[in-house]
Amino acid sequence: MAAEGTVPGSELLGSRLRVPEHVVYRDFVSETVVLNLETGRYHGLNPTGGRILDAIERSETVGDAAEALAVQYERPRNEVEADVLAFCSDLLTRGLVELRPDG
Amino acid sequence: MASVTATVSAENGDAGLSPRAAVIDTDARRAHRLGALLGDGGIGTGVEASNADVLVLGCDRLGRGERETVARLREKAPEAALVVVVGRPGPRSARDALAAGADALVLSDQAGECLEPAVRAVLSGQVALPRSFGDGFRRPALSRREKQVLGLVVIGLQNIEIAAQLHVTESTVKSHLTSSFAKLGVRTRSEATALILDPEGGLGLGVLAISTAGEGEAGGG
Repeated sequence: MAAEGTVPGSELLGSRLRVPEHVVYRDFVSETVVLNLETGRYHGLNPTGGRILDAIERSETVGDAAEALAVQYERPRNEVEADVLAFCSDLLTRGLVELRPDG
Repeated sequence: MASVTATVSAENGDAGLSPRAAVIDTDARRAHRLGALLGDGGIGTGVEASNADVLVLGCDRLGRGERETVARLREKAPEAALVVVVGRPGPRSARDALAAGADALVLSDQAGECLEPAVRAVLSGQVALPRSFGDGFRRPALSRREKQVLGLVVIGLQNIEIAAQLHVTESTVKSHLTSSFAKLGVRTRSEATALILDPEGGLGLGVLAISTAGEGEAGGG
């Protein structure tokens, strides 16, 4: 969907995200379950979502995570970036990731 | 499960207006006892399941096979009331019985006092359960901490991991588990998980939701 150029929310690409301490996630066979201990709410991520969350945790910035995923799954980078950005802003809204204070 | 049907013929003369029950049980002795109890209570027996006003299923425990039998009976006789008499109930028996389609659960050792009233209750459109099982249906009042600990149990963390996550000692985790298990009426973490997650008749993950004072302000920070 996203052609070259800037994708919505692309300012997030340089952001450093982390999973807050009150959020615990665990991978199961067909989904990743994310528990927010502040709200007691569970969120289910499909396998793709789980891999993105994993990549975010391992990478320095959101852009780095997108790049790693693009390489790993051999997909066009701008396409992966768009997906990752949309997903990250959703996670941010739900409080399942937060900006690192040093970022 | 092969279900042998022992139809009990404790014939009662005035087949007129009294309700008619069919007893279904693989244990002939229990079937006779249930039939006799029904007969004493003025409920006719000895009819085919398809003609009965109420089906009484006797079983030792309420396992998968028995739940399937309940579901099958319910399908075959959708109009009939369905009472399950169980010898050795588990903590989830009442939920399981209702989920499978039963209208009442009676404990075998209380059948003498309870079977007839339960049959009368379901015939009048009520659901009947032993009082001790009612707790399984009330939303347990769990504390915030208990919800957090249970939440972490549900996603598979061990006590030591839960303790680290919540910055408490392992014995604190254990005491939260003990109190929350008591509230849920379960004995093990797998029973607790099953009670919460079971898509049929489970409490649902909502039971672990923690109400936040300033609702509406999602995210933030």
